[in-house]
Amino acid sequence: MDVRSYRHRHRRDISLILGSAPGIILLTLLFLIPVGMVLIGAFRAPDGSLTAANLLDVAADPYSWRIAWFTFLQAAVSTLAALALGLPGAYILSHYQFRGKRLLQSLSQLPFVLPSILVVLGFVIFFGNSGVLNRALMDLFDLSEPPVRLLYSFKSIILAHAFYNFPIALSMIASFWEQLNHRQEYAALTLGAQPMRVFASVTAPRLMPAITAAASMIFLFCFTSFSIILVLGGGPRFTTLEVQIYQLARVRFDLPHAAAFALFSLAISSGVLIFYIRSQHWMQRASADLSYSLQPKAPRRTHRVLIMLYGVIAGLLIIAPLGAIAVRSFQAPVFRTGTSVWTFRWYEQLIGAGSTPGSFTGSSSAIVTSLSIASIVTLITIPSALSLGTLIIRLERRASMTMETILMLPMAISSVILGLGYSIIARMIPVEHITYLLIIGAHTVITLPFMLRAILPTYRTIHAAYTPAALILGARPFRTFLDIQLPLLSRAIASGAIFVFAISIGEMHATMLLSDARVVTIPILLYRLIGAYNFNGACALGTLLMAICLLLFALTNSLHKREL
Amino acid sequence: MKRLLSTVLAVSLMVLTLVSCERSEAPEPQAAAAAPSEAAAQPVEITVYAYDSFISDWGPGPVIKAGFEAAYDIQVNLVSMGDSGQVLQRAILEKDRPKADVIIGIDNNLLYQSIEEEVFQPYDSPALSGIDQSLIFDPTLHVLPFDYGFFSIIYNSEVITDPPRSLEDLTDPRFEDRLIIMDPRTSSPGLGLLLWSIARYGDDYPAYWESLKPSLLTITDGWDTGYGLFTNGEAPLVLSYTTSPAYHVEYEETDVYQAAIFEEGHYLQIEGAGIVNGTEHLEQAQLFMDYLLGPEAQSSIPLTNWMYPVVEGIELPESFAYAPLPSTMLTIDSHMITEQMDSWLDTWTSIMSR
Repeated sequence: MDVRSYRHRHRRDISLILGSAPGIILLTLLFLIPVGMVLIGAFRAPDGSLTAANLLDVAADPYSWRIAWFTFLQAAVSTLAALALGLPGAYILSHYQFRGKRLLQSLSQLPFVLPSILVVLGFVIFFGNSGVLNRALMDLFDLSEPPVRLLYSFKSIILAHAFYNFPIALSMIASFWEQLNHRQEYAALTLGAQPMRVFASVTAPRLMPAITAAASMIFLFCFTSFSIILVLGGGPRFTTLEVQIYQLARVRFDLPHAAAFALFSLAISSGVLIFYIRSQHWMQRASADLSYSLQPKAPRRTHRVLIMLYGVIAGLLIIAPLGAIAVRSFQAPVFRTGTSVWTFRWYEQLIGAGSTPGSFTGSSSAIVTSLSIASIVTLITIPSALSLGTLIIRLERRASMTMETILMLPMAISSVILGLGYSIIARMIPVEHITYLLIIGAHTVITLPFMLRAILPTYRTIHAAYTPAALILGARPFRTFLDIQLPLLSRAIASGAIFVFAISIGEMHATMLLSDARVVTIPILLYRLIGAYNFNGACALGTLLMAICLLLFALTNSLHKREL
Repeated sequence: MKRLLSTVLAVSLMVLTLVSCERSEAPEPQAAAAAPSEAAAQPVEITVYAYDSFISDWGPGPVIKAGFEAAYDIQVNLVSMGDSGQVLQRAILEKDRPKADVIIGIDNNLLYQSIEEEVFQPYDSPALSGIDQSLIFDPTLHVLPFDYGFFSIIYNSEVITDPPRSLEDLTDPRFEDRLIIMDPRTSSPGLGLLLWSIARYGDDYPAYWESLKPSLLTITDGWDTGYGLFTNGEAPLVLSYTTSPAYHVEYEETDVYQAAIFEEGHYLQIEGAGIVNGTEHLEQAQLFMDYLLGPEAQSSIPLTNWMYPVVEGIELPESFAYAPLPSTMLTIDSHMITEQMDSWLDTWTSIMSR
């Protein structure tokens, strides 16, 4: 029985309806309704009647097109930069076994967990005009002016985005590459092709599903980026659609035009989404040779040099800004001498010892709050993604693509719009302690596409390869799912869960909009510390956040390795 | 796979247990409001909306709440809605069914809009007699002032020996790439500087901004990021408040950071609070307003909110010697701000994005 006839016959299967219902209900309640209620405002005239005037206003203004073009451009360039940085790393991680590999894997996930305010400050501490790098170079070469002027320009936006996003490319491509059957490469090599040629004409095309998947995620991330663009770009010269939506919705309270801009932005990003989903389907049909497990080996001597070189570049990008934050958290400035001393003062403040400002008892409860929200979100996201994934792989091609696009939309929607939608919902439900639920809901919606991205490519392959066999042998669909699909998916689920957990723990914008001061998470506390002049304290809390996540990543990585 | 699942389950169960312990240890104060029918035996609770930094552990919120609750048998439920603009937006959205009794953080920029939207009811508090009369910015007494401050350029005196003495001075080539400011679209000091330039130059403000551009290192989205960059040494000049140096004196024992005082004047920010129209706890809300304007709450303002108290004769902490009061106050009529804001921001954005 071929897959097509199987799919056709089981399309209306009761198990499909039962399996996908929870995911669909969740998505409708948590995403489609709240966002729809805001976006519908774009069609509302001041007197309440329906109108297209708001949309026409936006489309007729050349300024809209200018910022749309810039938003698109910076996202595209950032995506290319992140891919260029992530691809060699993906090769190394999937092909070689070496000391420090796990640490590198864990470290590369870190930029994600940090709220953007800390990424920006870490960047400035290291790459800034009076940052660690420039000071070292000035001392070394006895210069009076900082030699490296990276920040406050278009370049620094790209650099920061690459830093923030290349781990997506790294982990997504590496996990796909590991499973790629290498027989074709060996055949090409045997036939006398040069290794570069083999990569370009045999490997790269087959890596495309993973590359486009990573690229689309990175693109959408950069497309809605906010503080990085404003601060590191040096101001409104680099205004993006997201900034415009923020200004209209939160500063001018002009919700109809904010919604119109959000629709405008959504139109562009869904275009990208549709393109990406199409190309991915095509690629996947062209190469159905996964489920192969490459055994990583120790690198040869010549390759070791290359690996080290990559390690240095990636290390400089990841470890340096993050390390600078950690170092800063152990320092206290001494103003009389212009130097600084080593101290645990900021950590003592965090645990509430001492009675200076910034000393408080809130940090342990913020950590517990963040961890529990992230755990609950992860636990909700895994079954929801599996439920929705089942639907996507079993629908007809056209319907499946539409569904996928809708599911990816949370990545494309501005967090300002999502937050507004949730506050409308909150006002309609007169429950006192709804804040926790709202935050968990928002995090679930934000992280769901990441989980889906992680499991879908593998899920499709597994489904095509094993499910018909299991069904022919008499297994019920649910049994097939439990015994065949789920175990084969465990790797993908684990790596998706890391992303979900990390994103939830570092999420600031939506949390900030919803928390109304009762729910204090680590990023909110961080933000407040900086707001209370306590920059070093924020570095200490940021370091604590990094340590927690590093520990979690290490745990997951070792778990993941033992499973194999 | 099983091991993975069981680990995930075990970890999350642990976390959940921790959370539930945490919850039961600290009974939430809002619990009282959930059951108004049983409220007879329990103390009344009022809900106060304020901006986030007011409510944070270091802000005046916790101090004022504790003091008020100790003095009266009334519970205070402090709720933050983000920044002050968002607080007002929420209050406007809830106009028909208000949840808050008192709203804190309506400044002179938001005043007109809040009155126009009829969010507040007037209250002629007896505490007003102790207040510097020139600070009563709403003659209709819908919004009563509780603190005030001035935007200012702060400089690092180790780097800058010849500080700027006027807005015009900031455009001097010696300050090229030396100044960090905030975006008026996303930050209240950022908006303060834009209004400051309008108060000073009137319709010629676009030309001022054009000439200020070379001096700007970057424009940050929020005050916190900008000030963080400044204390990290990225630039020796930053837009902040005249009280910022007092913080460094009080807690870091340094007077390296100083406020540049301009003869021509500084833009004034008055922050006010008001009683929500339609509150069910009018009497308690009035008591809270009186307390907010009383000596106890007022004397906590300088070191928690880093603003000046409005009540005359409140003794300032010693560190406030480094928070000089400008001799000239610049202001813009609140009505005009509400009318013109959009066009000012548009003009600013188009100048700065060229």
